[in-house]
Parts: sequence; structure tokens; C-alpha cells
Amino acid sequence: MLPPNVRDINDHLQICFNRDWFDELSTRIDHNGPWDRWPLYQLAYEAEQAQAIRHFDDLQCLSHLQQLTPLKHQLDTARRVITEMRGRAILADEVGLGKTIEAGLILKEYMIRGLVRRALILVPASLVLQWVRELNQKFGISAVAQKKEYMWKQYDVVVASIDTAKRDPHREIVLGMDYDMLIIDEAHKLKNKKTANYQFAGSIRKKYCLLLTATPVQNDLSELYNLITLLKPGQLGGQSTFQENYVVDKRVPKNEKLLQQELSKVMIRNRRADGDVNFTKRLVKNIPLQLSPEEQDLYDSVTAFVRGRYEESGGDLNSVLSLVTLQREVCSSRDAVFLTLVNLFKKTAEDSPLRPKIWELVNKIKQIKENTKAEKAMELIREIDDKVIVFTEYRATQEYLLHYFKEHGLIAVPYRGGMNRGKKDWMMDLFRGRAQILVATEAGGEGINLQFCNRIINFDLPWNPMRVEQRIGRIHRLGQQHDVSIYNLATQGTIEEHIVGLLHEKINMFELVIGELDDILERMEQSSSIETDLYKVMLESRSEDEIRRGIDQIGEQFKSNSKAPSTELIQVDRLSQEPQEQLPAAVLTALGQTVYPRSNTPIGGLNG
Amino acid sequence: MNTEQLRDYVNRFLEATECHVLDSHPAYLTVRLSPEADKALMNRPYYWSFVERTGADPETVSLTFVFDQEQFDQMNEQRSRSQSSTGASSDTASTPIRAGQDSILARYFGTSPSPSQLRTRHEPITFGCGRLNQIFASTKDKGAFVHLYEQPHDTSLTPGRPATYISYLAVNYKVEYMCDMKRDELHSLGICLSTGEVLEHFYDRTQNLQLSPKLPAHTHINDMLSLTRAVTELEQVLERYVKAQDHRWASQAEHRMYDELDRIRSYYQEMIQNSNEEERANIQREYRARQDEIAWQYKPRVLVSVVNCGIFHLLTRL
Repeated sequence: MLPPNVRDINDHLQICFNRDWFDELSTRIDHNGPWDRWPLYQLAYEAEQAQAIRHFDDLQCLSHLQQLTPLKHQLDTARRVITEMRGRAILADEVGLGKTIEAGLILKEYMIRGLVRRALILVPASLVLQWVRELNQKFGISAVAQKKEYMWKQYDVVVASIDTAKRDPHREIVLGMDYDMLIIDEAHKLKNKKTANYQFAGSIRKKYCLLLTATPVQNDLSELYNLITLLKPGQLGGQSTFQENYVVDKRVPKNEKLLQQELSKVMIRNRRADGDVNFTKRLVKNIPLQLSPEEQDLYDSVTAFVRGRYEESGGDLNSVLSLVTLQREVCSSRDAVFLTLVNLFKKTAEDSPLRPKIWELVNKIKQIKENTKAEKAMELIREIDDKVIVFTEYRATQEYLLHYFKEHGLIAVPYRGGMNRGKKDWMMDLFRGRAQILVATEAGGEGINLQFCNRIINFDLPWNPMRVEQRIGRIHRLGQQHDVSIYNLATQGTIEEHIVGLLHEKINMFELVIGELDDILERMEQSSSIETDLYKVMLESRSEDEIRRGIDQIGEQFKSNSKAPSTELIQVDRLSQEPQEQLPAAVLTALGQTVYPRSNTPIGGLNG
Repeated sequence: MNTEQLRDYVNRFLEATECHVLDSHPAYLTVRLSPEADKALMNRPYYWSFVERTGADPETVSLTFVFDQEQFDQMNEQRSRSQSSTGASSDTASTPIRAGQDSILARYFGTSPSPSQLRTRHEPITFGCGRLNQIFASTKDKGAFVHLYEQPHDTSLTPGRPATYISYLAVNYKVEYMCDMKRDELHSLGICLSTGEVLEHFYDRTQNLQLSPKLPAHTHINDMLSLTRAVTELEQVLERYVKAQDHRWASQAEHRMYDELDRIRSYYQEMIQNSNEEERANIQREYRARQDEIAWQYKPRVLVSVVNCGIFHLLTRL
């Protein structure tokens, strides 16, 4: 008989021998085989040698991540979380500095060390697929999006929305598991102790835990206290000790040196060197162009048609929503508007008085020989003489452009949402290698790496600023080494001219800091979306002047929302009257490092 | 592992699993997988159960493992350039990479086949990539238990006198020192099954020997120590070694654990004091759960597992 397999090394430490192998070996000896081959035996031992973790402290993950070169502040953060914070931390970087990368590095490191096998990642529903993609592609972690009930147990790394996870029947399963690591993105949504989400998150059993948020304090210091309690209860004392020691008013801390010291044990907040400066510059150029008389005629006729229907409907925006598309398409290309008109014609009853009107529009399209916009775009591309992405909203325009560029000897490849992953990657490869132009209909589709290109042409503009921002975000992100050029084609005398004016001059969105737009739009959300406002202006205005006024109004509304770019600044205003009081913002300041745009170059292959 | 080591490793794996090498170059290897390697790497159990049920001839996958992506890309580019300059019209099918803009659009509009059907799949091999981890896992699975005899040199055999083998149990141990962090050590030990003598670095000592699973003729094997006694002895050696190590890491981890336990104690005590009867049970349950989490995270321990092991019958005295 073998002695017990768990024995004391000293008073504090035990050694445990795993003996699964012993029975197997005995069986094989008894049966005289089967025996494995010597070369595979050697390879197995060599593999173990290569994978063995030699030291407690140095980061291993870099040698495993050859698709990714993390930035210095991201690596520093990962290292601190692992060696100082022991795997429980709030990652509170400002937006755009790569919290996801930091979390991925930490998760990967623990997985390589064999300290994490089972991980749960709770994120807002809209971010689930993005997380899955990033973990798979950038970190080689086979994460899955939770879709079916059995998946909680079947897969080791599961990404899910907290709203799904907290509901039956999922709730019981999740709370019955032991997670080696729990990651919660957008963790500021858990600031309120009384919510079901907070209590659910608090009941999950976990070893390591990361909370990600760019806004750890929005209104109230107790929000921060609650977040930290999820992670390390008592880090700031009990509820009453916390109030006593650190809080003057709910927005005003005291003993801030001590508070800062305590916070720095559980939280890292990297900041940009200067909130107003971006990593590289965005250079915006509007390219005005004049339609040919035939094109202008088509535009005017379509506008009149759409407005006519809107008036007939008695100002019901929903009933003419599909017609609004016409109005937008006509700014893009005749191909785009043609398809929609033909479909509309087919759908309209045969005896409808609309039919001849629609047919008249179709006939106008047939009159048009040139495409002023495409010509201008090509002229621009020839001038640029560099790689460039052309964005359009419409599939028909995309096909037309591909055809048109090809006819004129330019090499262009398509990119759109409907393509499968492999095809997308292939198009990326072609664009990187031999094509000069990528004609894309969608800006989303995370995980595509276009930083090698630094020029965008907006062939037409989405009316939703967020989508414009997404387009730019494809190339203007951490890792872009050059200033980014954005060209907007603006057809004079059309709604497009106004949209470009609104986005560029009034909203100034092209020069906003990465992530700033999200904040502003979130605040505006209560009223109504910019897109709908634009529809109304367009449909209801009778003159150029009216349009201009309407658009000015939207711009004003946006500006008034952007004037309060963050609650931290609101607090500055409020508190400046009371000089001896300190702001939460200031307390947060010293927790991470400041990231300078130019010096923060990627470091590759650095280990330890 | 650097590029060269990776290539050497993968090459040896492919040889060991009897794959057919089609093209070998420092930057890459193109192979047709053996059924064994196909089963281990390609994740298609349905296909293989179909083959086994129907007795159909198996079609194994061909793959190109790329070790130096840059060089591989350059070579492809050169190849495509030289081919397009020497009259491109013939031989379209075999070199899809060289197809220019025309066929890009043609493919987009669906008139020419996609190149993935025409070229063998190539996979970059880097340390930490999924494919390599899969190969690693496969070797651990298929290289776990061996039984080997050292092959005699002609000179070592005296006619009429049988060669006498000395038998060893060899075990490659992995020792994991764990708390909230972790460190590994590998110890290859061998124990002589007739004398009980334990040898360290046993794996390294056997690397230059000619080993084979076949028992040569005219040989004699000594009586053996029981396996149980051998394993007990090996574990004792390992335990003595671990005991002699510096275990400050463990006392530090334990300190951290007690710090954490103290911290949550003060937090929960305050909560329990301020709670009513009803809430108390809940709070206490939560408190216990947190205590368990902390122990789970920090408690230092040493785990010993076995990478692989075997019986070695040797002629050479180690």
C-alpha cells in the first residue's frame, strides 16, 4: 500500500501527490502494454518543459501572444493587478486606453499559469460578441457567447449579459458554479447596492475578479464604496467607518491622501496626458461638389416626392420612414435610389396615383449619364495616391463604385457586414497587400485591424453621429501611428451639405476625443435621437432657411450637452466655491499613470 | 521556444506520427497528415467514425505549418511575380495567389472559385498558438507510458553470455507551488528496481541511449522491486527535496490570507451587529462564502503530478 497522498511539509504547508497515473501504469504492466512510443514520450516532456512556469512573478503571456503588442501602460497595469492586487481590481482607465486589453492580458496570464480555467465575463448585451471575438482573436482564449442553458457548464470561458445571467433558469446555474475569474464590463452599472444586478454579482463565487469602468464615481462616493465592496469588502472599512473616515458630503471626500492610498490597492486608472489632445490628429476636409443639372433635377424631384407623401400622411414620421431612405439614397448614387424606387413601384397598387409619379422619377434616373460624386471621389483617390477606405451606406453604391474603380484601373476590394469571417479576413489581406481601395458598407465588425491605413472618404454620411464615429474608429485608435485624414464628399444644394455642416462645424465631432461622443449621446438620449430630429427638419422645412435653422437647433442641443463633458467637471464647478473641500476626481487622479500619445509606443517581445 | 526550436519540435512530431512531408523548408513545412495526426489535430470525429464504419479509404488533410511568416510571404510574392512575368495565361489553378484585380472582382461577383479551395491551408505556428497547444496536448496523451530496452552495441555482447539488464522505473514529476500565484518545477527521477537507488535527471541521462520497445535476444532481466515500494521511495525523495526548499512564499501567502480574513471580519462584524434577526442568517452565509473565496485564492499548497513515466531496461550503468 502506498502511504497517504497528502502530507505536511511544515505547520502551514501540505504536499499533495496526484496518483491517477499509478493505476494506469500497473494495468499496462499487468497486460504487457499497450505502450506509447519513445519519441512522443520525449516530445511530451519537452512540451512540459517549454510550458513550465519558472517564477512566481514575471509575466508569461507575452511569449504566448504574438498577434498582439500591448502598450506599456496596459502591461504595467496587468503586472500590477497580478503581483500587487492579487487578481482583484477595478480597471478604471479613461475611455479609449484599452481596458479590455488589460483584462485580456490578466485573464490570459492566469490561464497560462493554470490558475484560471473557468471564467465568466458579464458585459452589456451589445458587447457580448465583441468580447468573444477579441478574446479569441487577440488572446487565443476560446471564449463563447452564452446562448443556451447547457453552455454555462459546457464551456470554460463564457461571455454573457448580466441581464440574462441573473434570470431563471440561468441564475441558479451561475450561482452554483465556482468561477476562477469573474470579469464585469461597464461595472459602473453596479453602483447601486439595492439593485438586483448588484446583489446577483455579489453572490457569484469567484477567486479573481476584475471590474471595468471608465466612470467609477459619477455622482456619489458611495458608488465607489459599493464597487469596492463587490471586490474586497472592508477595504474602506465598514459602511459607517467609511462615512466617518472619508466622507464629508456624498460628493466630498476627506482624508483624501489616505483614501487615495486605500484606493490604489484595488484600483488602477490610467489617464490621457491631456484630455483635449488625441493620440494622433484627425484632419478633416470637406470636398464640395456640384451636381450636374440632370442629377440636381432628380434630387429635387425625389425631395418633392418624399415631402409630398409626408404631408399627405399628416406629419406621421413612421409612415414615411421608408421614403426617407429615398431621400438619403439620392445623395449617395442613382444606383441606390433606383433599386428602392423599383421596389416601391412594385409594392404600390396598380391603380394608385403614385405609380406614374414613381415611374417619372425612374425615368429621370435613366436620363443621367454621369456620376459627379464618383468622378470626384476618383479624382481625390488619384490625388491621395495612398491606401484609402471609401465608406458608403448602400450596397448598390458599393457595387457601382467597385465597378467604376475597376473600369478606371484602380484596384478596389469590397467589405460588408454580410460576409463571413473568412471572407472578411481575406478582403483585409487583399487590402493590406495589393488593393488601394477598400469599399465598405459597414463600419462595425470589430476585430478588423485597419491601422495600416490612415485615410477615409465618406462617400455619403450616416445621419447618426455614432455611426460616423465608428467609421473613423476603424482607423483612428490606439496603435495608429499617423494623423488620420477624413474626407467628406458634400454635395452642394442638398441635405448632405447640411449634414456635413452639422457634424463638422456645429458638433465638431471629427475632432472629439475618442469616447467623448458616447458620453454626449448618452446624455442626449433622453430627448430624441439626432437621426430622427434630422428627418423631421428635412421633411418639415419649406425653405433652405428653415432647414438651416432646424439644423442649427440640433447643433445647439448637442453643444449644450457636450459642455458638461463629465461629472468630474461638474463637481469642479460646484466645489470651487468651497475651497477646503476636495473632489472625488482629484482622489482618482493619482491612481494610474498618465499615457502620453507619442511616447506610448508598443513594446514587443518584452518579458518580465 | 524560438522559431528554430518550434520547427524542430513540429517536424519531430510529424515524423513520430508518420506524416508524409511534401515540402520542407526552414520557413515552413508542408505535410499530408497521417490518419493518427489527422485524428489528433483536425477535430473531425464524425468523418473518422464514418471511415471506420464503411471501410472507405481515408482522405487526410494536407497542411502547411509556417514558422517564419515574413520569409514565407516573401517567397510567395516572388513566386507569383516570376509566374506572372513568364506568361500568365496558363496554369491559373495552381497559383491563385498571383491572380490580380480582375479575379478579385470576378470572385466577388461569383464567377471564379475562391482560392481557399485551391491551396493547402497554411497555419502560422507560434508559441502559445492553438495548434501548437493541441500538438502539445496530443503528445502528453500519446506519450504517457513507455516500456523500453536499451539496444546492445555489437561489442557489448559477449557470445554465450546473456546481456544483463538493470531495470528502472522512471517518473517525470511536475511540482506546482501554488497560492494566488504559481511556480512549477520538473523533476525527472529514476529508481533502480533491483537496488532501490534513486537517480536525478533521469530523463537527461537516457537521451544518448539507443532505446527500443523490443526485447533483444539472449538477455536476462533481474528481479524487480515492487512498483508500490518504488513509488513510495520516489515520493519520499521528492518530499525531502520540497521540505528543504525556501518556503517564504508560502508564509507570505498565508499572511496575505490572514490580512484578507481580518479585513472582511471587521466589515461583516459591523454588519452583523447592525442587523436584525432576519438579515443575520443571510449576512453570515455571505461572510462564510467570502472566507471560502479567500482561502481558495491564497491558501498555499504544493501539488505533485506526473507528466509521464516508464520502465527502462538499461545495459549502460548510469
